[in-house]
Amino acid sequence: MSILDWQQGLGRYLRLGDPTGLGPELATPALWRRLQVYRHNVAGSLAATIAAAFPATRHAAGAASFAAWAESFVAAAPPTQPSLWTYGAGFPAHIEVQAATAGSPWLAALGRLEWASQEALFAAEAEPLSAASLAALATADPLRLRLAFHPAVQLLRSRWRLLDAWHAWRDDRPCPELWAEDQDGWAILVGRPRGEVAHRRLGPWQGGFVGALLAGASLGEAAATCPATAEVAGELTALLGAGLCVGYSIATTREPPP
Amino acid sequence: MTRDGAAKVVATSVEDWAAPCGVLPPVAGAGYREAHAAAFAALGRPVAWVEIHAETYMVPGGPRLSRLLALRRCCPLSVHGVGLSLGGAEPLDQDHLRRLDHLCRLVEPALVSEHLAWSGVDGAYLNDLLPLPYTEETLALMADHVDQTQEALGRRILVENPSGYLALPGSLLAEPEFLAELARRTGCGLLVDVNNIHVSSRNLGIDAAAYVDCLPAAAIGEIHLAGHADLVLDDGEILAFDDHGSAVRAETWDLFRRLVARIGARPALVEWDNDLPTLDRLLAEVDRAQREMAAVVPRAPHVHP
Repeated sequence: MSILDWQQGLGRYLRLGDPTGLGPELATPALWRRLQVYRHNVAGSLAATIAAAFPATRHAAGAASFAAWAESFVAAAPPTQPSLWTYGAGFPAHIEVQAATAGSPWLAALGRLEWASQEALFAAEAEPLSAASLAALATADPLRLRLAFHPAVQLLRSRWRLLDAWHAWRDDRPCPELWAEDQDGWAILVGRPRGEVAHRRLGPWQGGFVGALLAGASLGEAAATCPATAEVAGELTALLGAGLCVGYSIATTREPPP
Repeated sequence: MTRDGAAKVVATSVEDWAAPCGVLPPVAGAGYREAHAAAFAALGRPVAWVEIHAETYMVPGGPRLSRLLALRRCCPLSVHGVGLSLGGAEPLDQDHLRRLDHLCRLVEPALVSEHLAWSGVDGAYLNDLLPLPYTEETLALMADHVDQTQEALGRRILVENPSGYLALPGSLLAEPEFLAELARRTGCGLLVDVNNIHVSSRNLGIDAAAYVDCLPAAAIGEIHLAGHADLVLDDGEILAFDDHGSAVRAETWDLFRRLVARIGARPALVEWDNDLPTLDRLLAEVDRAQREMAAVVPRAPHVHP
């Protein structure tokens, strides 16, 4: 047996408990018991990685349910590389059906919020628009501006009031049963203003406006569906004030006013 | 002094070593863990050097990396990789090697180390330091991967001995012989974890003192110290488990003194990863490591806590 064959067989055993690929030299009960030490290390450390990335989801689901989901996720989709901050993107989809069956249809969405927060925490650095740039921005034709956002910024659309669960975890309170808004379009804006991850809940028109800007629309295009210019200006001020914008360009063709 | 601190110690105070961040002083240092980040930042005393787990900081940006870069301005740093899988039978992960190189360019560590182990196969990263049989085939494999790593990083690396739970029947070489030959073939240095030697000696029945005595002194660039636990298996057998979750045990201190009495002072790291104590408690263990080293190496630098 080559060393590659040997490692592949041991890898399958450690990951899935499948002993068929183990070499005959490991086929004694005493060695098997000792292999369990490695098996527990592999499964336990990866499940702990998932638990660290989804603390609010774990808090809401309960430790036992979460542990079972993390264990099945680790077996089904192990990490593909050692930089483990990237491990767990698929976990919310993994729990979607099971969480809904267990009576918490919002839990996968909470997982997506936590994953967006993890990506925000480790996103690349970028300088927010400076005061001078902001002044220049004020003199440009505002409707033709396209804003560039900080790499940490993400918009998560969900009708569930997910931040209630997030705050319950943060404040170490029992997680309440979440309820959903009647209307579509609600969203949570995730960013890293002043170096720490923060969330802001956006109503339907704000969610549409910021979502359009993130997709590359000019201010004029994004504002087309907004109720009033004053509210657009207020939302724009909030985005800029939180340091979520890092640059801008001017659209080449003038957009029609909203 | 050589970059790995292996040459004779001539300084008498840790302050003499603290200025150039590119050199790791041959004194005791602390494993830097994220849970201690705020306590480190607020610390009112110097730490001679710290060691980080490389993979923890392979991130594009954010506060974790910012805090590390701030700390790096204050003290020398050692980068300790846990995921390169030098003993893996598959080709070395070039993307991961690039990530390690990028981190090294960013923090300019005094030392870089990895493990005599493998940690992934078939596209899955298993997040553990898995054992290798010690044969000519695995020696050639490790040597090739160490060569590639040293070439990519443009520097010598240290390779650490693992904790053993399983004596692999196919092994033809003893672990210290394997390590010594690896160092001879590749020019790499050795990171000697004396806790791992004690753990392996309990689990595999090897002679820890003989292991420590036959390691090539000139190749040893760093020493690791840590605590371990007792693990009861299903059949009642008790194994030593390298959990880094408690103070250094007496038998490990004995091996440490035995090693430094023979080879002289080296950068010596206290690792504590689980059941993390306060930073003060961790640094008390670091101070003890320095006292233990100074007691058997008369010219070891004296550190003022």
